[in-house]
Amino acid sequence: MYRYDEFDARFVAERTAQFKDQVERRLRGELTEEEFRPLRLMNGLYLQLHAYMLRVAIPYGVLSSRQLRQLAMIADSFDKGYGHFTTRQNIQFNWPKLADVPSILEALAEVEMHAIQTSGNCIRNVTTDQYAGVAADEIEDPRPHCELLRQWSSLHPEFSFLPRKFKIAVTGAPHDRAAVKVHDIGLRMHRNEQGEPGFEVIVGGGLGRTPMVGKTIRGFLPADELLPYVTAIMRVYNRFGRRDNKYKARIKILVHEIGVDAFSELVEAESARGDHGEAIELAAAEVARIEAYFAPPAYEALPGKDPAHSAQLFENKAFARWVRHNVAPHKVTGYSIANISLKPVGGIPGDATADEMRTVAGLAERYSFGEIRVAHEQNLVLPDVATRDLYALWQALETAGLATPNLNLVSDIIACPGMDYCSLATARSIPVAQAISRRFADLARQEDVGDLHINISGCINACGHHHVAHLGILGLEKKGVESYQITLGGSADENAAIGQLVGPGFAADEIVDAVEAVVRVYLDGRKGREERFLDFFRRVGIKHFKEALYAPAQAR
Amino acid sequence: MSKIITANHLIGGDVVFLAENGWTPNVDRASVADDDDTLAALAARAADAEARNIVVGAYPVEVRCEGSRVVPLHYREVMRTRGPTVRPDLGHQATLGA
Amino acid sequence: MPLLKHGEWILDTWRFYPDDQPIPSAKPKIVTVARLKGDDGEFLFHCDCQLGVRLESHEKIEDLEPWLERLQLVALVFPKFADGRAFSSAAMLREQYGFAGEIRAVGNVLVDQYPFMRRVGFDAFEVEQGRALDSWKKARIGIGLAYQYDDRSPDGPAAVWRARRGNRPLTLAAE
Repeated sequence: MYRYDEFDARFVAERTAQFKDQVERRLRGELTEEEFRPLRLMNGLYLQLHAYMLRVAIPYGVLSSRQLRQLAMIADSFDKGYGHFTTRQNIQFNWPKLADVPSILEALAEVEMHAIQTSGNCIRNVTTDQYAGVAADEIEDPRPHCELLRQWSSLHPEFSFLPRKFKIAVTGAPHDRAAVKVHDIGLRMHRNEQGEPGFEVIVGGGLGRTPMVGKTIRGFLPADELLPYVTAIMRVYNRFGRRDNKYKARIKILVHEIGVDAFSELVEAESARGDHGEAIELAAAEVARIEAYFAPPAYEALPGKDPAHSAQLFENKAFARWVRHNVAPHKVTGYSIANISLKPVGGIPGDATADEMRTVAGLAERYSFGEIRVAHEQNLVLPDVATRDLYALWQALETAGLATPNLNLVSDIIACPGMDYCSLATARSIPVAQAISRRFADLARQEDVGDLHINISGCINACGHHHVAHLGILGLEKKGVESYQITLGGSADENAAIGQLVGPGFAADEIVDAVEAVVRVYLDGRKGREERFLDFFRRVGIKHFKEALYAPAQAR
Repeated sequence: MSKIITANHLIGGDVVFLAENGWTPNVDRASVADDDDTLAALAARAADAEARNIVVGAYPVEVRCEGSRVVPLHYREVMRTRGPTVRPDLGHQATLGA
Repeated sequence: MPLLKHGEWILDTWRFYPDDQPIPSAKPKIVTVARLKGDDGEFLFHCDCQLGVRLESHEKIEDLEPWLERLQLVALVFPKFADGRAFSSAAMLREQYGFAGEIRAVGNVLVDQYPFMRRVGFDAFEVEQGRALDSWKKARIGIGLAYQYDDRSPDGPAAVWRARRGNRPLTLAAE
């Protein structure tokens, strides 16, 4: 993974010192809250419902064991012993004190981490596929360009006061695990007919109040032209994005209002201005330098099949189940990608205690070259596990309560923190996730249901990404109580789609029954287990679901 | 209409309520205003505390009084008095008791 | 109003004349785009005087193009500090139009934006009375390093990518 050189280290050190000074000026009263707010936001510090919240950047979801241990230390020393992994591959601490934040930032800087630009109207964490660099289906490793974009976007002088936040995602595989089509800029790495690397550039995707799937404005952008082209997009957005209404200020609104053709012309015209020769050269040199950090680890030459592993699969049903759901194919023979679910039955999705973080850090060192990934689904990944080690890994995870074998199943729920933590929320999301998880606790039942992505957002800002869930739940307020709407048929991958609203919302004590009713429609009507929920929905549409959910009581 | 003033403590970030002698984490001790003048006086004290960098984000909350208890009308404000419902071991609900 | 230029507080020799005020012939004057395009435009173009324009945040740099060779100053307005459009206007003025005159920030600016503004090409800053002028001087450099390769501020932050390539010796900006 990328390692800081003296420049990166100095950059973060100075930024930390700068923020420390800003905190001190605030505490002395030299800065009002109104002046301090944009500054603290640019350092990832929010004021939430019960306390401050610090959002720490995990660039494109890659962590070292050392970093994860430091996060655990911060959780113990400065917070309440846990952290929350988010839908943008970051981690949040929910209880820091303002006066402690400079010390927390110093502790982060020690391990080459920071909270820069995890908030505010600037370019946020560039996210990617949690299997980047190791996925069996990968065409190009997106991480070097993610790192390039990360550096380039850090304290960019022209783009730090945008109309609104800006999110970029990159994928290097045909199966998109990074949700690039619902980001402000989505980049899909691929090769042209001449075998040259480049990007499909997709703009104007997004969720929130007005969910939209992004539009392609460039089918193939040569890789070395990435930064001048992204600069052009950012400049068009900075100049012409709406600033009159916070809810109409994202780039998706601009693309929608002027049309993708007009938008594309503006970008092409902007990027044609000026001579980008030196910029392209500098960026290419930097990418080459960065690529060296992403050279493959010292993989052993292992056989495709490991007899001990095969025997364990046969003998241990629980292990076999975990492998079936949580292990993904690796591009190197004899290796596997192991997913660690942070969705135990009845648990809080994405939360990890300091002890759990330390356990995972140790297991990563032992079995995965010291590297961990954070998925936007709020789970963790050990990307480079020798298949022969999976059994030992699983046993260790079992002991630590981290072996829930539920990836992509109905209890692998993505949920924003919701009103239990967030001051923007209109309803709680976590208790709904917990209740659904408990209702479907039986693994055999979950396996029968198969792939069913449930996402829960506690307000219309959709941080739970409910719009692109197979079954999305949106928590609102109706007549002074929480009310939950269901959307169906969303998808975040290369066939991205926005879910359709089924009908009026359900009360907190009805929503789990409603989810069961949805599942029953699927189970009753599907062609067989091979027809996944999403495919079933695409075949039959929303009608039967509406009937099942809103028919008179006796018909249910 | 009864109202109290709530805010977050600047340095610590925790939820506090304006009481007779200052700011308290315990909503039952909050000063309750039953008329506009009293509320205005509370608001002025809160604004002063913000200017002196003690609290941030002060705002009024509608409540009803049930015996010795002060209960916000809206579920969000109730949550602010207690802490996360999914972590009963955290927040004021833990430190102050039920 | 105090004017910060090249890190020092100086006396402002310019004055802005709103559209309803008559413009003197000789003095350095800043006028609106509307005025340049209006009846006074001809006179202003040919008069022997220092001429500047004041651009509101929604007005476009492209509209100034016919005038740029004539102008000695462009004042870019920040109606709110969060309105970052002027950053792009300044960058475009320097980068695409090669404007070498003064680019001045006016309006609501935060001292913490100062290093960003310098880096995109602002070289003068009107600061409201009563602001902590000291903190402006201290904030001048910001962080001594920058990743973005276009750096337009003299003695600005060292460009990291160039330094890594050894194209320029690394001289970190003065503290």
